[in-house]
Amino acid sequence: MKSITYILFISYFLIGCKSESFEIENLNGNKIDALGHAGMGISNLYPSNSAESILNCLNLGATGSEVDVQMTSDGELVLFHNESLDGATNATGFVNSQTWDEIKHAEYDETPYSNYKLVRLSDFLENIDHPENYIFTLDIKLYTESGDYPNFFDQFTDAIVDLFDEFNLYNHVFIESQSTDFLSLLQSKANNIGLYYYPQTFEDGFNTAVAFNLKGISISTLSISKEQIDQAHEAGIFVTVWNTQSEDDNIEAIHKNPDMIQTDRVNHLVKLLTEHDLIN
Amino acid sequence: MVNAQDNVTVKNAVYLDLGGTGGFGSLNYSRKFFSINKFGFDAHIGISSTKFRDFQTKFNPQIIVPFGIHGTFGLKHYLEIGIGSAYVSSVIANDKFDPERVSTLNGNASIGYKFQKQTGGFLFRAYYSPIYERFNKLTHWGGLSLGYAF
Repeated sequence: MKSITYILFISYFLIGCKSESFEIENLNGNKIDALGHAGMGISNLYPSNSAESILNCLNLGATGSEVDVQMTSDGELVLFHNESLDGATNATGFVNSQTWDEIKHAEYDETPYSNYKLVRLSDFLENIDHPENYIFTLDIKLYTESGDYPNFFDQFTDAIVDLFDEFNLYNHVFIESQSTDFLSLLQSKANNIGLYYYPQTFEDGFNTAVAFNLKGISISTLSISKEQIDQAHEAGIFVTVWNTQSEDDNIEAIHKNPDMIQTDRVNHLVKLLTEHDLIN
Repeated sequence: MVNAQDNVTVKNAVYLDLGGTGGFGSLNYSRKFFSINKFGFDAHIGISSTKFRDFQTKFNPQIIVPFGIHGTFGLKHYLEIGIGSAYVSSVIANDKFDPERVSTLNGNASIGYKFQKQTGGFLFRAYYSPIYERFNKLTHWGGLSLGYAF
């Protein structure tokens, strides 16, 4: 009986301590960029897209972070995810219906005792140490009440190009959007910005990236297989995966060979990739 | 005839809040300072934190100290109504995106149910506790307590 208990104990210990092995072959120098999902991810006590969440992610050793970007009525780029400020903050209405001055004091208020403010992207880039050392993916949220999308897209793309010029972001900041109209317009104004299409299916993403000559696609890890990522890589298309909400999701995503992972479990992904010398 | 006042043998309690006026949870101590028949009052104070490290990953904890008074009605099953406050010291990013500690005082109220025998032992509370953050913003909140009265 003692022997059986001993064997079971050792087996359990060995299974529990099994180490992952990864063979990465991608377009990113066979390394993976570990990005936070709007900072520390959706289940963190810091609100998504708050300065505290993004800085925490960077200070844990992440390569960078994905952030959600919206434009105010006076053309300022603000980090915020939802369609409306209602619910997540103590302000109301669409970001695009208000000037920066009108919403700059807004605070996230989904949980008690949080004093975290909305962030203007230019303030963030201006004040953090060495922004050029980090990769940022700007997930463009095209929410507007105006209905005048051509004019809205025109102003939004102008604001992005101005920001890229002012802070020289061309080598380390990428744009992702679900709108090919938006990406095409931005491409026509600055063809040296790395553009990622955000599809619902791999087939749509692959075909669109090829047709519009985009840098890559940004897709849920649940919607893409390792073979499909290999197919994208063969066509020279970079792949970012997101929706990794657990440690197992992180491991599964790494096995698929993506170029970037936007994770909700930053600490785990950074540690894992660092241990295997796979982080960029 | 049972005189409720004669049956009050315990005045102290320690309990853990899940949610509640401490935010996501807190460790609390309360002491009954007045009682007559089924009516009573107790004062409570607690300690809580949701983060021990700041966004630069340095040890720099958030500190939350909820305190206040409860009025109670009952002998074993209580209706409990309270008012209180919470001192909160948090680390946020300032205009230069550096860590800065800020302190706030926040109001709260509560109404709920408490189970506690007169002789002490297991304690349970379930309550609604709106928080009046910095006395200018209402957050609907609530809590559960498990503890020991002695």
